[in-house]
Amino acid sequence: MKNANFDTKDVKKVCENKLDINFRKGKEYNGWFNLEGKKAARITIPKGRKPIPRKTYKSMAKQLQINVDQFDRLLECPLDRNEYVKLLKESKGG
Amino acid sequence: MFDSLGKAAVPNNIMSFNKANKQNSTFLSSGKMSFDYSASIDPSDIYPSVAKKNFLALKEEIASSEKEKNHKKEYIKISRLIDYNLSFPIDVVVEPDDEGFIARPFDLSMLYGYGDDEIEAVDNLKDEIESLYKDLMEDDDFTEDWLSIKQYFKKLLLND
Repeated sequence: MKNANFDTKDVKKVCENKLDINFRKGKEYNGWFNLEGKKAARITIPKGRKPIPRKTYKSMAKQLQINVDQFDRLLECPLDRNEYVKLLKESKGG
Repeated sequence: MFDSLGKAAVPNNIMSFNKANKQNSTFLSSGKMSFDYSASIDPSDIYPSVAKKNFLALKEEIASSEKEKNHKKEYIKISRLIDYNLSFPIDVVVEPDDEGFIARPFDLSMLYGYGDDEIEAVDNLKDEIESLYKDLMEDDDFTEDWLSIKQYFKKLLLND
């Protein structure tokens, strides 16, 4: 488990960039992952926790219906396709 | 395990020593050297930077496990939320989670509340249940699983 490597802002950013989750502001951040037009998973991210507590990290993975290892992998690759294309264009364009 | 200066008492079975230990060494009648390992040492004397980091991490880990020992799991029943009553009480487990506490209901494993103390964790869980209820009541664009949960929530939550 790599919870110590991330804070809650990292999780929010990855969910927004990679999973297209829109978060609603509240006491904590809540957002839905949509699959084929249906709301399929709901994640809750507490504000300002670094590092993310272990059981909270597991709970967030569970909310996305993946295991902790898969959640690690999701968070470890913050570069999404759009950002990559942007970087590629920048490097070619000079 | 740690004194007021944050120095670690080295267990007898750890085969490491510092200058102070060297001074405490004596020769046995067999001719072999014996060391007194019981003296307190500062790990930064032995391996300055990296070890100090590991030492502090270990110290934190021990403090965290001490906390887990002192604050074992607590099982409670919630029968009322913030703005809603519940038609039947739900069972919740509250337990330490590193620096804070986490509250999780048995029957609603997709929910949790985190807080700096047990009360805040439970309050956040209550808030979370209400927040999910409001989300579910917005429309019916949910997967089958969530539509089942919506039916459960309709039975569970009662308006004041």
